[in-house]
Amino acid sequence: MSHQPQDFSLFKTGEVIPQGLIDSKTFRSCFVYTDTQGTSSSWLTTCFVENLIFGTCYINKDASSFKTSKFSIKNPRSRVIIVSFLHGISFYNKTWVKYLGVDPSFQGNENLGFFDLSTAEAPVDKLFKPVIAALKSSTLPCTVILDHPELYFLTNRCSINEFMTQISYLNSLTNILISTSADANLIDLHETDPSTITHRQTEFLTKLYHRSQMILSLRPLETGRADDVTGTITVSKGSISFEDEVKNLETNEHQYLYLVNKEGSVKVFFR
Amino acid sequence: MAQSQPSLVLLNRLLSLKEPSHFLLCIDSLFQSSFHFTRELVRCLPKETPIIYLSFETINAPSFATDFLRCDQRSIQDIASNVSKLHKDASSKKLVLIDSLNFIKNEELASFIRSIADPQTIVFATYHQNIPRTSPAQNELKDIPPALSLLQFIASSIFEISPINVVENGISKEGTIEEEVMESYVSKLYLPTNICNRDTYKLILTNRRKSGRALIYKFQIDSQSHTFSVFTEEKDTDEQQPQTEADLLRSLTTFSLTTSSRQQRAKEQVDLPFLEAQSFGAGGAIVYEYEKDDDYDEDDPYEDPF
Repeated sequence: MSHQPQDFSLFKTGEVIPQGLIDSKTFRSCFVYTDTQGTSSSWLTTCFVENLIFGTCYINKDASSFKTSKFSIKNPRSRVIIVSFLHGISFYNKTWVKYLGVDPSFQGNENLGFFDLSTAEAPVDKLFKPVIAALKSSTLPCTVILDHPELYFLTNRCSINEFMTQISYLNSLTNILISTSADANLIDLHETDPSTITHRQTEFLTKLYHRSQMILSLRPLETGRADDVTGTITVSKGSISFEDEVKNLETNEHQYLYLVNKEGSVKVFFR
Repeated sequence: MAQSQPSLVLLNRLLSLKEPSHFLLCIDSLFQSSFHFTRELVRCLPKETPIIYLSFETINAPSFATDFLRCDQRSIQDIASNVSKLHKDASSKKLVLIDSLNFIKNEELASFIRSIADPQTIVFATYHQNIPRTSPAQNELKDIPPALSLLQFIASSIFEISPINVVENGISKEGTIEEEVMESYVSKLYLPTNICNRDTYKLILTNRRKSGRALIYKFQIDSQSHTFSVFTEEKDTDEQQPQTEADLLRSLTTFSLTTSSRQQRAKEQVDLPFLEAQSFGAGGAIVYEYEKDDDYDEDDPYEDPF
């Protein structure tokens, strides 16, 4: 590869998730990262978890840089709660052992909580009840990562507005990061039949974009498959900006190429 | 530009609530949201104007909001009655800001706006045009117009916001993007970098007068420096400097197909026929000159050639 590896940052300050955002008592942010079938965002979820807990980013430094951080899982920069509608904790365990230094039998703790809602059938107004209880009992700053929440409303009887209400409530309590699918066959702005998956996912995505400060898009290369590039990651401003306490934060709008190696390590290149 | 001044005055009057417009509709998209424009509106408001913020999607209460009401779980009747109770005795006009009308059912939209807006209460509401509309359910009326058409019909002023760097005429320069390319991004919900949600954006204002006349103006708004200017389309350089007929004919052939400046002056001095008829101003007219053999009877009205 002729490109030089670049530091992956979301803000002009060079940070992935800035301290100011974690510390803010009044401002709650919402970041959305969309993926497709060929460009899964699970590596980015691990990257966010590492950055939120340790302040480091394994893409930018060596994979064990978290060990030298002044933060640890016992003393994190921010508590993290992952609410996954797609995977169980065993899916993440292997990479967390490598990049977060957790035990292979790790099942989550108060600083890195995991809620597996992949088989959830609870009514939408009770769906996030345990997550909200965990958030309210926390004395430390907390960040929630929702992993593919669309799987809930696409498989249950629940309107997008009802689901968005729950997400809004969660967001009013804490900063949230949401990963969701944006495959071409799930998006059609002209679809009007609310019973179709396409309409529901498009409605969800557009409504989510309008309440986000940042949007990250992971897409395959438009020119076709390449051995040394998995896809592109585009960092764009969302519909709303950072205000009040965090008004000085500026999104670092960039497009990167990235490569996920066979062993799971990720390299990011500036495009 | 001669027309620029009145249009800017109108924009400023609308934003400072001096115009008799009760419902200001703002149409935005994923590529340029109304976020910055809403802040410009708030900046232009007279001091002490109460601002009631109705939130259907906003999480962080803006610092400028006098009252912040979360509406995502309330009925429209409940919202309207709450709004009517607030700032009842305010001496100045009050502003009701609605962050998104996309969460209200089509059949309730008109009555919701009507229940809030009055001469003392101005409604400024945003509609996100990229959110897909929903076809009416089987048990609902089929003839209800789409929400956007309905809102455009009842709004007294419409603000359409779009990115400034999307070019319509197909001449893209560095830092700009062609409309056609942008439309392909829209269909994929892909947001290109350094194009969307900028501080500087394009605004198309449609203002409806009481007479029924609609005025349309285009502006460029800079939310960083808080300046408004009239938007001028950048045209192709060939269009900016149109070639004269002489330039086109030059070096086309060895024959002289052009006119010299002396010939041109002489040509301009020739009086064309029927110039007198054109001098009446309002359309054509019959100019009749009597000739010696004409038989004209003053008593016969049908003889009058006029």
